[in-house]
Amino acid sequence: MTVLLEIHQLVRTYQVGGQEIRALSGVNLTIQRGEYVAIMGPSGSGKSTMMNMIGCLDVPSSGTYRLDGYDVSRLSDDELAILRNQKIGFVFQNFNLLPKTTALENVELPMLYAGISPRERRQRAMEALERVGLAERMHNRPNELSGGQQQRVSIARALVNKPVLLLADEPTGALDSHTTEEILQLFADLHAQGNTIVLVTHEPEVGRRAKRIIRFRDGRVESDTANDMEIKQPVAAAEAIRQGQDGGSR
Amino acid sequence: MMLEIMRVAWRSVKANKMRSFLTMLGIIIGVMAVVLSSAIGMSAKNGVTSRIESLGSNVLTIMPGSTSVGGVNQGYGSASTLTISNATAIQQDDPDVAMTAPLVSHSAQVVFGANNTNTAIEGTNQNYPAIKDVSMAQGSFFTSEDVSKAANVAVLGSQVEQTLFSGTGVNPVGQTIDIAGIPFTVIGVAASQGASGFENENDAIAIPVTTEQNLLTGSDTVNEILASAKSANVMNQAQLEIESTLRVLHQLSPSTADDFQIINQATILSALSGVTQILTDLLDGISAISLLVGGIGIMNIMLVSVTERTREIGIRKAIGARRSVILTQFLLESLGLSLSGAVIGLLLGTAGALTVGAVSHTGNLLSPGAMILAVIFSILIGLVFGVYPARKAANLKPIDALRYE
Repeated sequence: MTVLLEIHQLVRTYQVGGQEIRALSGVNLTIQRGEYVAIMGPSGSGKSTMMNMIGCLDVPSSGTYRLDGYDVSRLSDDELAILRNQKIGFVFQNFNLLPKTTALENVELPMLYAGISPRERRQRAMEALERVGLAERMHNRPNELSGGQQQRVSIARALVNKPVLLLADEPTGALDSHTTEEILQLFADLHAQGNTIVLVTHEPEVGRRAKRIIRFRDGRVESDTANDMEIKQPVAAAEAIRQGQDGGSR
Repeated sequence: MMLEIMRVAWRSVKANKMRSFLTMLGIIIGVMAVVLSSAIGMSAKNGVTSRIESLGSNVLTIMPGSTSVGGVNQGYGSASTLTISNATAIQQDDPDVAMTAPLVSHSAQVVFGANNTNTAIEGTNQNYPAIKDVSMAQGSFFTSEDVSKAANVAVLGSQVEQTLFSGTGVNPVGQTIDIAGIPFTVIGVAASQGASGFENENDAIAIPVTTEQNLLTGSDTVNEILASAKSANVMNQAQLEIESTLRVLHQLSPSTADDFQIINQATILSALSGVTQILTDLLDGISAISLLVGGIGIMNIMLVSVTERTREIGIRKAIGARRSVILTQFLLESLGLSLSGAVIGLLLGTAGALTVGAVSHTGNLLSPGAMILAVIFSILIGLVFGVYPARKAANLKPIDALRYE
């Protein structure tokens, strides 16, 4: 295994009303290629800031972050945009698809910014949509798709530029339990195909599906543990989640 | 890539049709105003030029100089320095002058039977029709013989003829009319001339200048002398010759100023063109302001659009759109608005200009220069007023934009 991202003594502070807030205070983290990692923690723990950092949407106040060999803290806004475009596939809680734009065009968008020819864009976007099982809905607009379908489109969009890292921020937060299961299965498949996945969530049932769970608290890594349950008993684990949810809702 | 960004920008213009149209309206009106104002300006200029040219293209008008009464300048024409003999001398001595006609005019009551009118009586000589390009509808103009004999003969303008003879059923030629109580024989009626410039020559009666001086004014000075140059090319030489001839005749010392003034067609033309130019400039200025206001409207809507689409901008940036891509997208959008407005304005303005041209009979009034200028100005406005909103969009931080609700 090779190192994909390496975070060393990362600090991120914000100025809010003249007061300095430390969202992250000295995080050390290494993720290898091919890992399936869940970042968990209560709200205010710094996990969202961490996700912005890993996604190159934000830069550290101090410390270093290397992604696939690039020192992110030294890059300009435009270089960060190129890095996001080439290296990272984003999956958001609320899908963040462009309205009034078909599924196919949404999936084509990252390739447009990568400067890929229209013919190849179309070809690859269709393949990506097929891969997430939405081939027959590719000409529909987001408002004509269900939540689960929209999330599939956004996963297709995330994958289409062949990123080294799939970064998902509460990907099932807006979905019902059945659709959640579908999407999580899709992630499991993608991981099995060799994709590196980092999933930010506060739901234990979702986090439990990853192979490694990193818990944040007060801007620091609280725990970093391997998760064996899923590997040994995937069906049983899924069953346990479902029953747990059913029990909760009754 | 550029094509794709253009498509995205155009789609956003199309997505809000009503709003886009209202935004364009400022530019539409502005461009229309530019095209129309240049058409109106050109219509005025064409009108003035054609009227002045109808006065005869190689005519010089010589007017007496000004007098001062108690230090108050009475204006050109107030002095009585020109005489018939001056006119004769100019015609004989100046090689570039073809012919001259003196002109004495005053107004008088004219009576024929039960009809009467008050009109201008113009005393002149036989050269008048040739210089002023007057043709005869009936009868003939008086001859040099009539002038030397100071005959009581009159040539009527078409409007005077109408007033005096309408309903009487008689042929005016050969009839006797009373001018200020003196009987005159009508020997001709001039063809209608189309109102030309300062005086309506259809509402006038021409009589021999000698008759006018003997019977009516009792003075041997004339109000003005008309001179025609041999050709339009020698107008300036003719003017210089007349000036030197008159200075000798009037015995002016080299230090004295002219006691007369020579008015050249070109001078009048340029003076009047100046006036129409001011009119055109004024209209152009108003059009430019309208375009400017249109540009501010575009900026306003673009700013609203950037705020509305903050989330969209965030998504685009998150998945890899560089600053320049977002900047280009919004610039193209404002450019699309201003350019579409310019095209619509151009079409409406062209239709308006063609209508003005048809109604005023002043020909084709479309000015390609004004049209190109209006479109270029619109493009500039789209760019200038699009830059601020587009920069605002491009500079959004992706995390802030994504979090925006």
